[in-house]
Amino acid sequence: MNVTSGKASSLPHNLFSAVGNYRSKVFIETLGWDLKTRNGEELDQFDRADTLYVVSQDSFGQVNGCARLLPTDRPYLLGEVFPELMQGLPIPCSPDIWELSRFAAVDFNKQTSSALSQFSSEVAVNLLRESIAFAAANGAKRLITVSPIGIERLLRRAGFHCHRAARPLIIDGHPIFACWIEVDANQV
Amino acid sequence: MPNFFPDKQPAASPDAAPGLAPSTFAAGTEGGSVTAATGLLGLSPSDLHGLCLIHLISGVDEDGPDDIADYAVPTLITGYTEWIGDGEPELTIGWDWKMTFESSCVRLVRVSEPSSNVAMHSDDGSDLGPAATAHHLANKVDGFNWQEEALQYINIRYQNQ
Repeated sequence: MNVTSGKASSLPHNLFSAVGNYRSKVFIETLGWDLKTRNGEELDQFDRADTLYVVSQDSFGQVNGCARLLPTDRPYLLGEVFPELMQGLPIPCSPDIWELSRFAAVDFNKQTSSALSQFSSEVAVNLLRESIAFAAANGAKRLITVSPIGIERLLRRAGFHCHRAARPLIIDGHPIFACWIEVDANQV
Repeated sequence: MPNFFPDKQPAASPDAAPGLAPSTFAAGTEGGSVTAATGLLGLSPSDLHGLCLIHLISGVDEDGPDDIADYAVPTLITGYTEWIGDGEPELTIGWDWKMTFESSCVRLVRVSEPSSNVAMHSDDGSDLGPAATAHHLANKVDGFNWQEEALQYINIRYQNQ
């Protein structure tokens, strides 16, 4: 597994475009989310010049995982789109709290039973560790993410120190929650 | 639900602008406060004992057991259940279960440590730590009949599937 991290402008030639295509394949084609694309690449308002990315590639150079990191003192997904997940608690807004979003570790070259079970794969756990380390290197002391509640189980099983910020909300019949992931406890 | 960190975006909330987080945040008058540093709800054992838990949602794991081989047929039904406390700030707690069949009866059995937003402290305010917190929460869960309500909810939720 080869991991590359940085802003879009600093990623190797065509890698950011490959990430956009990969995200489209994961989130739109596989998971069926109603997201916008530009030239076949899934991108939104949080894909900015200052956004950080962590990208995993297999031995053939194919993207098999990605993550997006945003400091919470700039516009970010939870703060802009899902503030109700904090249930009245302060919305994180600090240069040392970063949001992890658009995390995916689906290897389209491998047959797997589900995207969820893919999260517990070696690629997923390594990608998450790399994402936490990269966020820490850029000043993060904690991460927050919007997740289905089942992710809490998988994070804990993989040894990550995490806890829910508030009660889950039921969205499309599924419990979604804001999850804190501690950076110090997970330092690599 | 077959996804991991969903960023499925509904229409942006008009009040979505992030506010400045205060350096400290403590709220609640019914036994507990949320600390800004951790976001955890601090409770003493007596606080926890006095809380009633209210059912929020229960469901069956749609992906089946994580470690099942591709060629195997899952025969174990597992799932999750989520509850909230009746105080403010709000306790949130959830755990996993498996379904068992004993003497022609369907039962749910807790199979995971409860996950929550709680950090237990002693009556004098000293942190009891994660292990003691887990122990107290497990005792709380095992001390009331959550199975009946969760099973009833699951039966209704999945009756047409």
